[in-house]
Amino acid sequence: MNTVNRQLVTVIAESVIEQKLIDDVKNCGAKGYSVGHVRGEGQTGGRALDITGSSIRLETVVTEEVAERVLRVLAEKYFDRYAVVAWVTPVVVARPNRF
Amino acid sequence: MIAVSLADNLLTAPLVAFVVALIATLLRFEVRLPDALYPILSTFLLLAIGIKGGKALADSSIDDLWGPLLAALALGIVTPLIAFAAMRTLGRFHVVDAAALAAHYGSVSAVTFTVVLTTLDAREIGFEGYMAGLLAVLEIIGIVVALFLARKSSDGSGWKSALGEVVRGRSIALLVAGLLIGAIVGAERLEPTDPLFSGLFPGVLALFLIEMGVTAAERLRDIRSTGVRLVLLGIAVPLVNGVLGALAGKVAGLSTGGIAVMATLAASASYIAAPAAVRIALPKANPSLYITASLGVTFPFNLTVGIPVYIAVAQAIS
Repeated sequence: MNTVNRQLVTVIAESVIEQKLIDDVKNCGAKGYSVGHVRGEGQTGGRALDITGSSIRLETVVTEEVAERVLRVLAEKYFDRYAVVAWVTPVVVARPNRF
Repeated sequence: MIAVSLADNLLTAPLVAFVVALIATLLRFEVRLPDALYPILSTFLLLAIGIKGGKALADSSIDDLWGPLLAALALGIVTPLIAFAAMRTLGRFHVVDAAALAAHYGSVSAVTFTVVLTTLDAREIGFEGYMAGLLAVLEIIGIVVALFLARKSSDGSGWKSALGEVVRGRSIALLVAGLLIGAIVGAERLEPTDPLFSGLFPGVLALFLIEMGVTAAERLRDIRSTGVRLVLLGIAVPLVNGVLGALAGKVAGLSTGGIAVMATLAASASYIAAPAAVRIALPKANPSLYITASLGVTFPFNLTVGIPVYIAVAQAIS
């Protein structure tokens, strides 16, 4: 099986910025993404933001370079203003040309 | 007499559903409806209010409309300014938080509006049907004015996307869609849909208010952290704005019921359109302040005490 190493970037954020996040992730070079609603609690008030829609989890599988770019953009534009956390996990993917 | 009037105001199914759900949640009983129901109920309510208003618009002439429309525009500008001044001076909140709160008090709550309509219906007090059109107008202006107050603290790009969020957001879009359906199709041809949109309306509102009671109770728990000043202002600001709304309705030549609706619109605080817009335009404002004030304090206050007061004021001055 032809596999390759890539980075899975996971972003948990409040739903009001969903569209902005998607635009930014794509601009950084991601070829695709998945978004879903999630529940939970964090340091930034968690529940207080539920009224504008529950939190979202955005996932995208990208190269190391793109992953770094995404984290940089998140830090610059969102970390001090919105409830956002993000992490990167190394993954092995099939269909390498898709990522 | 007073007891009868209180009972008429308070003993409607939607309001009792709200209070029961609120108390049950405070006592930690699980009365929350399935999550999936909430967007369906709110979609139904917004469409139904819109259709009802649209039918009335179809029957009104421009001459009937410009007075109330001007009054609504004036209220849309004045009510957020009053809220901002009160939150800034009496509440001693930071400019950004005061502006965020002003956006909520300047905008309106469609559910509070709906409750005053069903209360007036239950008490057989007539009102101008086109008020739902004013609801859409007021929902937008109040937010715009308040964001303008905090323009220096807002992100450059936040402004535009926040406005887009309000105008294209579900609550305005569905309301306007309903208004258009009502106005284009007209009362007579809408008769086949009346059992759904008119007949089921109070029942759906009661279901929706169970959810609102649960949410309001959850907000009430946060009051300890936001302080007494916010509670007092969350009651005082709607009372002042409500009286202003009643006066504006009187000047615009509305009927007693119309004055009560205008007062309720001016007094109510948004908790759907405004939080989303404020979160985008003023990310530095503290959400637990404005959501607790609007949903935990002002919404229950208006439903139980405010609306009977605004109806009484309307009866006194008309």
